[in-house]
Amino acid sequence: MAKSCASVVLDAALQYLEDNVDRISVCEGQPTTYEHATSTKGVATGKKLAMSSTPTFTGPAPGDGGGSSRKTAVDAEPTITVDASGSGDHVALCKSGTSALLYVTTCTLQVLTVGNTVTIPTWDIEIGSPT
Amino acid sequence: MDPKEKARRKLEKAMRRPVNDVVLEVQKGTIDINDLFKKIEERVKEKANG
Repeated sequence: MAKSCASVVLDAALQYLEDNVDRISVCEGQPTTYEHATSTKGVATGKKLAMSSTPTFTGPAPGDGGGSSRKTAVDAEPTITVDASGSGDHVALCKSGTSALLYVTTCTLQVLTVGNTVTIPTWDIEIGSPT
Repeated sequence: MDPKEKARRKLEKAMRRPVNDVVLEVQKGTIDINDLFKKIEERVKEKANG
């Protein structure tokens, strides 16, 4: 029996991110709470090494997986000042108004040094079609 | 997102200056919608069972 999901359903989820995300942060270790993702490493339970309050998105658009898959691109976030030295291996998207951690992904581990800058290139969030 | 707010954020990004800049390599985040449906079903069952 075939399964399907209308694009508008998936687009609503992706559009929610675009409409609500106002923080993007680079973390050392997986953030599982808003505080992890937005508090600087060394402060309480913070895991954040760098954070920007200017995330933007491009999409939604058809996904690379074919079918009814949909994706949105998180635009490049250039030259964010590093607040704490450490090994960045996760990227988190948050909504500050409700202190919500909305999305977490991984990145290739990079050593970051306080006072320098880090650039997050553009990357995609995709929701696959049902199988 | 409000187009004016988007433009403001893009302008702010463009004005930053790099200092020994490190470029990350972010893994694409793919959400399996079947997993999503399973999670929803689990939550519904949890609610039904109190």
